[in-house]
Amino acid sequence: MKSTLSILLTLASIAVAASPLEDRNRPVARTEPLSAAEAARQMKLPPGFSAQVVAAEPDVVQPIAFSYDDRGRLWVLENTNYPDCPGKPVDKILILEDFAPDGKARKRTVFYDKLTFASGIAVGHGGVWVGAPPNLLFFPVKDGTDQAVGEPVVVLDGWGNQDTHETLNNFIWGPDGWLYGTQGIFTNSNVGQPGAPDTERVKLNAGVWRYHPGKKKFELYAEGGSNQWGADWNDRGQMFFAACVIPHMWQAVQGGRYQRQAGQHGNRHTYADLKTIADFEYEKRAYCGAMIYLGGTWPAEFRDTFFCGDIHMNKLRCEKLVRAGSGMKSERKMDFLASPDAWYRGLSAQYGPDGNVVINDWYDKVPCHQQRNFTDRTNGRIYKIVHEGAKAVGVDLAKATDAELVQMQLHANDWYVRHARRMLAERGAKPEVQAALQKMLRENPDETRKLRALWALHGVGGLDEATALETLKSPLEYLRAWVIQLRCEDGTPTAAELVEFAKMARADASPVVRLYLASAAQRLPIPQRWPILEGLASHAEDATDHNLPLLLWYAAEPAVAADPVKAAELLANCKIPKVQEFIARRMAAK
Amino acid sequence: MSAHRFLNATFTPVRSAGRRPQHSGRVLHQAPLRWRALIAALVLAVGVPGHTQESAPPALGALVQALGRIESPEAQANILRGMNASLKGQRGATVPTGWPALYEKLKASPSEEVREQAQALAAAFGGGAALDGLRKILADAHAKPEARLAALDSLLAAKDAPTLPVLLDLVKAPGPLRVAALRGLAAFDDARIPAQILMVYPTLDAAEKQDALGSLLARAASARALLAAIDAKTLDRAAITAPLARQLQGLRDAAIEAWLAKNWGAVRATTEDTQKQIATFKKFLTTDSILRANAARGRGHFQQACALCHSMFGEGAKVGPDLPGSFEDVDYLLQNIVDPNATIGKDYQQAFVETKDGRILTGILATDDASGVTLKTLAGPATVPRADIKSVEVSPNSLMPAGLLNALDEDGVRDLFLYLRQRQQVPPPAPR
Repeated sequence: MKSTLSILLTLASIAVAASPLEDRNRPVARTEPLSAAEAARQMKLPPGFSAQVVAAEPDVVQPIAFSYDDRGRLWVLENTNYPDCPGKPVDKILILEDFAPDGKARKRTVFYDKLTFASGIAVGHGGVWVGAPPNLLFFPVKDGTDQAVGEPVVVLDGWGNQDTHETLNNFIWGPDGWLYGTQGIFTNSNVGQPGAPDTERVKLNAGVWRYHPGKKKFELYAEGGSNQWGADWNDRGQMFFAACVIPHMWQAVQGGRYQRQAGQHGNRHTYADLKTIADFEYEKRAYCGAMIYLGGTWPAEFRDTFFCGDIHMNKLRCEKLVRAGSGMKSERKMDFLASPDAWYRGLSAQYGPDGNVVINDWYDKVPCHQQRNFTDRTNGRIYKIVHEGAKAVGVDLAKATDAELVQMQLHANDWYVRHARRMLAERGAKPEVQAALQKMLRENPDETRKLRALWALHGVGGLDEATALETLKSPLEYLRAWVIQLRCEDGTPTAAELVEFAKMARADASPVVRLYLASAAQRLPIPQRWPILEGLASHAEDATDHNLPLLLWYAAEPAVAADPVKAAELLANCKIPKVQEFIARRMAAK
Repeated sequence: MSAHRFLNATFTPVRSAGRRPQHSGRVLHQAPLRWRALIAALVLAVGVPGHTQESAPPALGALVQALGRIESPEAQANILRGMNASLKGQRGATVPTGWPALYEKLKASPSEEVREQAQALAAAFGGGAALDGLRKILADAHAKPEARLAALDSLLAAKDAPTLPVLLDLVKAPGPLRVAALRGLAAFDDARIPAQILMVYPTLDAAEKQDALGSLLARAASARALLAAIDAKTLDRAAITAPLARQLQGLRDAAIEAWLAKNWGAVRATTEDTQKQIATFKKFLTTDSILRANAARGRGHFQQACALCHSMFGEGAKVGPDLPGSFEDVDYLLQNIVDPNATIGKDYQQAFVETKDGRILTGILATDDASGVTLKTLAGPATVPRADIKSVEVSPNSLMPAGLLNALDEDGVRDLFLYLRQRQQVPPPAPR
């Protein structure tokens, strides 16, 4: 009797342990919700990792996005209006801080409590940036306090809300100092400064966008995709995003046009678009968040790997990025986190000052907003995934000197690199800062550290022509590539740089550099493009590259349309069949 | 189950025709999906000499000059492919200087692709001799099917009258050109067409039947013949699926509208109606009952009701978005299928293009510019040159029709929902 019972119990426990995670059929939770502590305890993680609860309902509900400030505090954006947009002015921005050894936030401050539907948040440049369609808002914060100075300022308007699971989201500061974000395909935005006429607005449905707080400039960085919600950069400044429904994994090349879930590309002479960089897929088709781990304290195998949340399967996926021609391919690595609790809906993973990773959990029975009858608007969690080797740290970068911020560009944890870089830019152009970064750029032997110096130098206005021309001679390909991108940011490189770009287009051995030249060419006036186009078109070896033929074509198209004589010359000398065909097609088109 | 319902689309005139001198209408057709890849490189456009009023794009001369200096057959083929991609559908393009001599040279190329592409281009630049050659290829039973299909495309583009009897003949018997011929008939306005199609209809396979119906629905006269056949019970009324009913409505013919009102119900469904319908469906769509349904039969229903526009597991058309499968949420499915206009519409709004010779094309606007309009239609992409267009209208409603589930009984809906739940392809349904 006793043995029968124990066998039954064993069988039962096997069934319980095996079923939830191996149930491939789990978009809607069929179980009751768990407490935050129990959900964290049950998470399956690699050896050496554990999950802590930073905050949970009722202290935080529907945390749709969060952002670290320079003190390592979490600014959490709640969205109980979801999926109604704009909904009612009832949602909060919270500040969580004073973390106990068990991860729990001991202090919670309500920064704002009158938000309508909002889906993106970032802290920096003296305040808080919030995406609340139709607006990108900026809340100026009084120095040294957690209080807004008056009501928020509308920085940009015209953001669409037709499909509320893909409105402006994933705010993240780029290496070049721009605020980046993504937006999905069934939301039709026409973005510009308040009052701007149509001619000064940017149409956007699906893409990666960016806004420069200093230049007050808005751009579409790459277009196409589906319902992307998340983008991040690797150690060499290569950007990646995850998308839903269509294949999930993409490398975001500046000026790239990506496979669209629906609709047409803005330019009807696009002819072909960029495809996924993954040759595998998961069971379901909804992903949220993007993180390339550069936190420095987790085991080396995770450095520079890509993480994204799988909403339906209650997982945090981990993928390895492998060089392939001008870009990278993505390979399946592992399911880093798997929650047996089917209510877990991890949205965004971000590493912090201790190198550990915080994840906001929407916590809902259903994964999709069209199932609104079943949604629960009373819960939500913030977890922290902790590695045994990573120790909690206290941090307040505001107290750091300029020299310390410069030195942080060499930190093993990119959290410091990024925050310090933005803060240096906020503090403005200073000769001694520029000199220190110049020295780092010249003398540090490591390509990734040189890149950091370069980006920071750009942020403080110190990437001058002489430095650029010198750095273009570097044997390090990503460094040369990034000099091109930064110097063409405004479409105004110097004459000497243009001469160098033309030489490189023909002779640079790196497909990465050639790709950056193709991206940059799109930003140049047409007469300046020709030497670059001609050089790039001479590389027969790029015919099968994932990105190069199309990026070359996107830069060439308006030039071909504008000047048939030059176009015929380019056509005759073009060594890339697809581009040759497209040039002819364009010349024959009305 | 409620009576058949059909959403009444309202029409918004978008643009009237261009102001150029009138051509007779013409529509370019594409070969069926499975051959499309093969002939992609062969697509032709044929010009009718003497009809041209437009000047060649300024770049065309430079392009032909450059091509004349290129000796590599690979490069020649790249360039010709590109030129044909643009000139497809541009009947009567002006012959650029130097083309006749260049054509003589390319015609003798050792590369088959160069020769075929050059011939296509020659036809686009206008030439009775080119049309004669194409007719010969089309009629030649020993020629490669791909070459015959390419020739047919060009002849259709030219609205070549002598091609019509050939097509009427080709639809009579199974063969590699039957589908293309069935589709091609839509380009002609001739009383022999509905008679011939309706006669061969019972001998067609399921896919061919769709093409046959598509051609009958291209014009009001042939559509009325189809409905008469249904009234006479020589054809099953079930042939008129929701998307086809919607296409019928686009013809805006009083007799057809009366037929639709009688057989489909012409009431525009209100939000309340759709919510009621959803509630009705939900009653018999419990997860348990769906899981006990038949996925293979569901695949059959998918092919009937959905695959005209959507593909799943690599099977079906690409007019609407690809479906990944794995749809387990019944509410989500019902919301999107019963009331497709409620959620995502903009990129899938139904558009109607009426040609000057009375054909109506229904689909989604793929491109709309100075050269003409390309629609994604149920039968594949179709390009109409600007000069042939009478009107372009965009309906505020989704191309996806609202009555899709009404063609199915309860078991049928459960079968379909079980199929939509799948993560990979299931075996096809057993033949009845």
